[in-house]
Amino acid sequence: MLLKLEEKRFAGGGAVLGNLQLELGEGEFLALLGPSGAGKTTLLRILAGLDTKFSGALEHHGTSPRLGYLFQEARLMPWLTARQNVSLVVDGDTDRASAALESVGLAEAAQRYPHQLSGGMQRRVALARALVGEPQLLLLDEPFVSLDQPNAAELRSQLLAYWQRARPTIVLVSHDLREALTLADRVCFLGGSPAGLVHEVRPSMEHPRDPDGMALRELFERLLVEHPRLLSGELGEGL
Amino acid sequence: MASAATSGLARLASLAGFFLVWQLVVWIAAPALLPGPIEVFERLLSQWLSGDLPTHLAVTMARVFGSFFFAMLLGFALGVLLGHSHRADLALDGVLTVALNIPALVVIILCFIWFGLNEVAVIVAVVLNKAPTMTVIFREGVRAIDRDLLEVGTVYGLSRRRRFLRIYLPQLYPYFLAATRSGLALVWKIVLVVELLGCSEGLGFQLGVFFQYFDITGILAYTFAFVVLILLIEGLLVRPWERAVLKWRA
Repeated sequence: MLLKLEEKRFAGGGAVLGNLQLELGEGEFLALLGPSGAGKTTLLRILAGLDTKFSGALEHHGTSPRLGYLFQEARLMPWLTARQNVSLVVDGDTDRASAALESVGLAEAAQRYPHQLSGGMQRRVALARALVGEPQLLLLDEPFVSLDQPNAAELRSQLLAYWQRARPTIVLVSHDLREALTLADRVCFLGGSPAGLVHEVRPSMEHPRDPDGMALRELFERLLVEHPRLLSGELGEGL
Repeated sequence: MASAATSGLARLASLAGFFLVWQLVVWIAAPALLPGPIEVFERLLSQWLSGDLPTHLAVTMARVFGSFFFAMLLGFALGVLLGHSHRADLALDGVLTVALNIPALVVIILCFIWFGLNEVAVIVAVVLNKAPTMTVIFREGVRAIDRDLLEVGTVYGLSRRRRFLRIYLPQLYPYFLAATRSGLALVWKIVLVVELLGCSEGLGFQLGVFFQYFDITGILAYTFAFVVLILLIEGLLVRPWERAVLKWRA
């Protein structure tokens, strides 16, 4: 799919996103990085078709893709059990919902309500819900933020395993460069005001990548040496 | 469930205590204007067996449920409209405030004058009295709807129908419960007044007759029948519904 964005502004405010073109190949794993307030979530919402009030065009090859969207918050229905929350998006198919919950390690929690689950578990339910429908386009908004390290590492490897098996197109919004380099094929940096894409790298190491491995560390350091203010959204020249 | 059984017992005990005290007061002080519970029960039984009480009760219940249904329908429709449309809310807010505060008696009298002494007048009078509070309840409910959850339905391509039934409506269930509770309580009272003023059947009419004859036993017997009915509706309909709907909060 191809997004040709001219401008996105919210009512009564300046432009958040400026001229920007983003092409997504089928089965591509893209990570979007940028400082907070750069419009990462807004961009994701535009890609999801949730936000249509922008100037520009969103083009799909053929029909619009089946979506999976992991919001920043879990967004579970409090009156539905974990399994009902997952089966809600697959026409009440309980078997598939159970399988999806099992794949995120929550088989025992299927009958519990969201308020009986920890924050990390709620995220996993939301991930199960995002994956259960076999999405063609999977949008992830900071999915691992505020999770403890082992939990986050576990979910990352589950996500990667799913991507390698089912090959959906993935857009991952993150502010963690190491995470982005570990998971994605292509890392885009958002910055400026109004924001645009300022830089792009394509990590080509084999999966699964070791976040503390040599190759990744080298890429990480080279990026930050060349563009020390990249994570603030500025491409400025380094040493 | 031990706690439920205990609380049920406690409720029963407090009721029994009330009747006991009442009977004792009547025995000891023998007040002229207060018959004892035994006398009231006897009258209740004879009224029931004669068929008078069931007839009046059935007529009143039909009016209560009919007007409750229409008040709910109107209140829900208006509440959803006002909750979603700021413009409609501005336009109707003044009318709503007036409707909320106009005395029930005024509406009842006007309805009888305009529509005549018939069932239409009864239903319209009760609906006009009750719908405004329901509108306010549903307006609050609609305003509290979590749009983030609705977005989940959009993203995952749920049909309109499914989004409405599985994501929108469940968020309003607590408001349906509140509207039912406050609604039934008020609708009963208004229906009785309407019947007292302009009907020739129903509990309110019969209470008026008893009043004219100064028949306190009759009044208490009918009141008692009425209270039992309300407790049955609460216990057999509203409470189980509430439990089913709010199960997740437990």
